[in-house]
Amino acid sequence: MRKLISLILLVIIAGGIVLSLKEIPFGISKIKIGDYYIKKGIEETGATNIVTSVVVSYRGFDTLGEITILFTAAIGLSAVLGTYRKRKAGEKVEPPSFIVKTGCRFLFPILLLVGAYIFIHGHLTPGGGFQGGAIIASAFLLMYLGCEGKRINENTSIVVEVLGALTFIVLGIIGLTIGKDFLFNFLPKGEPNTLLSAGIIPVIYIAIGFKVGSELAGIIDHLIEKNQ
Amino acid sequence: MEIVILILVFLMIVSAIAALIFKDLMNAVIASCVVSLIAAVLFYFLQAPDVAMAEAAIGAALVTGIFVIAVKRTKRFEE
Amino acid sequence: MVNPILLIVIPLGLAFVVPLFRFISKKIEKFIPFFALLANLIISLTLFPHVLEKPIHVSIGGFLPPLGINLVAGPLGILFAMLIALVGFLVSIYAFAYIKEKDQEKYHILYLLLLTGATGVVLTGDIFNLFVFFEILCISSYSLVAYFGDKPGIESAVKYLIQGAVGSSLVLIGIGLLYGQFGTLNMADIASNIHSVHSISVFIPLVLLITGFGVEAAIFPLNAWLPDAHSSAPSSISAILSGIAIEVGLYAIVRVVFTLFGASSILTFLLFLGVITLLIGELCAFNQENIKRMLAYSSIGQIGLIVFALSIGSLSGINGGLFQLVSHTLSKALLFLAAGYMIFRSGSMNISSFEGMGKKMPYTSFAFTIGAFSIVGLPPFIGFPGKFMILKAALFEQDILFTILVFLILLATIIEGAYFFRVVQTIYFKGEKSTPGQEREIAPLSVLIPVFIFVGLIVVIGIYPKLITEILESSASELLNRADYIKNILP
Repeated sequence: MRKLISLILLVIIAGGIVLSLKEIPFGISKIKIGDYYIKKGIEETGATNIVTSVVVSYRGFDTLGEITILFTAAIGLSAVLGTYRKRKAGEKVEPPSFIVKTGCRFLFPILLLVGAYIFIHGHLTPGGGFQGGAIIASAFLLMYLGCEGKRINENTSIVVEVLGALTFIVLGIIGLTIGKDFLFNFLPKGEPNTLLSAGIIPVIYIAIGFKVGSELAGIIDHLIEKNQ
Repeated sequence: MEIVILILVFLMIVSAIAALIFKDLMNAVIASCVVSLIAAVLFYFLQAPDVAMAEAAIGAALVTGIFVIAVKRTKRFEE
Repeated sequence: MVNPILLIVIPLGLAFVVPLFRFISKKIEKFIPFFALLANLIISLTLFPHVLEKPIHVSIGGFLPPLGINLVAGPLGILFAMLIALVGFLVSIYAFAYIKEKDQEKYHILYLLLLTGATGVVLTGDIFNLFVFFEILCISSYSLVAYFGDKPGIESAVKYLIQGAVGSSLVLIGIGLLYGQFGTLNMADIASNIHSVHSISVFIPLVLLITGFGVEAAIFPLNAWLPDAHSSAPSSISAILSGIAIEVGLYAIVRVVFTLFGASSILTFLLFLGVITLLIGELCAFNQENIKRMLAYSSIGQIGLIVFALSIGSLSGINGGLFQLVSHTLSKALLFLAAGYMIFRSGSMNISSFEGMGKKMPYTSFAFTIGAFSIVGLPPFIGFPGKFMILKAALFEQDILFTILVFLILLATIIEGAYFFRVVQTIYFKGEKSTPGQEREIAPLSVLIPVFIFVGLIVVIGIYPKLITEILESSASELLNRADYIKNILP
């Protein structure tokens, strides 16, 4: 009976969403703001990757909020898990096999390099701070799988995290004090399609990359080490 | 091209349903990983490489890793 | 003139700095929220006279709306920002002595982030940005509910997390549908085009947004998480959750209904929801033996009353609703803080363990009594003008429906009075006659100072309601004048 009622409710909700979706003209450039971004994005921000110009420049404040959400989640997780620690003494973890060990050791530096490449070139090619950071964190996940006994240093990861976030905020405040708005792109835009272009966008994306990478690695560390 | 996308969408729905009905949670985690992976490929076909990259790195790699850790710490089978 | 963005950036920046203090001294970190919120209070007070003349709006990143994100510091936003900074500031003083367990660093970071999220929600002029700050608010409150790490705390946090996550995803779907139809995320831009599309396709996002924000605002069918979460959190956090978090959820609903959609037809529905929420909250509170659960249910009831008042839809109704909101924030924060210290001393949340508290802790009991009287709506305190304004606004509609609803509200007030007087009676008149040599414990100053500032505010505003009526009136007219709001941002 309960299942039936919830099924009927779900069907009603789905029907409503479909009714609303029907009105949206997909594939037509009616989306007016998006159209503007595509036409003027490179000129106004200097970033060749339009998505980056939207994420870091036009809607940079949202990105600041998003990295704060991640920070909140990481801090909340460590606050909750830190209390719930029950170490069972004498419980041994099976050592990884030779293939896992070698594979992880081989992939770890490559993944770090790929992650760094992605966030450094965030304003030129697809990807950016979040994606690069997530790839770096997955490299650390492999490290936990393949290399026994190796851990990230908690203090270092916190310092990197804090400095990354502070870079973002300080750049924003510099924009404010120069007399314009918060997060104003005050550096020269440079020639589009070169590494040193788009003003503060690459700086912010590199900061985000470091922050996201160390934060997600910290979350993995907490889950694997603390709660055994 | 159309047919490839259709097959991918079909596979995605199948693995999403599979993730729901599997009693072994480890299998369910792998099935949901497949959903993310196919979603990443579809995003790429829809010309959203940025989203595809994020979906692949977070949805397929990190979330799966975290779920596997969580399943190992709790119970493997659903009653 | 100060830039209103500082209201968000200062606490956010300081929250990021807090982890660095572990390398210097562990003693400093608890003063960070104090200074951050003091700065916020000063900034919002300096902005206050400017806002009454003309709403301030600033864009971020050098892009004018609707291209970039903008902040709108209107009377309503600054009213909320002031409330958040004031209550947050006083509760941060309370936390000096109250939070002793465990990793205090994390408590202070999460506390600052919660208030940053709340400030962001009330100041932003962009619907997706509102969602982002709303998530900061929600996620930090999930983890603060579980801060003690005991079993009831974690259980209720998980309950809260699941319901809140469902609510947030509904909000996200609603925003996605709006973006698909209007191609913009700026609230003023959407509001100016809202009547250009078919009404059914706007109705669905409206319902999704109200449901999603309604989870945080604890409107009737969506409030299952609240009693557990508010009663198992640390008392300072209960005060913030009851005084700030649910009000911010309500702000989001009001902003969406009045400004974004201009939907006056859904108000009748919200009117009934408000009265049902009020009755259910008060009836459940009547049966509670646990003091914090009782206060939590009473918050549900008060939110119902505020929803009712705001959905009357007239200027005086909204005015009364906002007054009641201010009064509930101050009184409920005071009640939770006072009750928190009494629980701390008696070691139990049971109302019966408060017997004889009036003798043992005279100051705290006195403050609790003032808060209880104010919530019930007794004349010299702030609760009285609020309830009076709401009833007057409802009766002014001269509708038989409103007369019935007013009768129900009075009934709920009687129930409310009954259970609060029972607690006050337990505190003062129950228990064995105290022996002359019985110790009188005086709470530390860091507890008494915030508690008595709340008492002072409750009494002063209760006697001179004119102190805040000016900003309330301009907030209410900001809500009702959509056209002005749109014209201000999109000239």
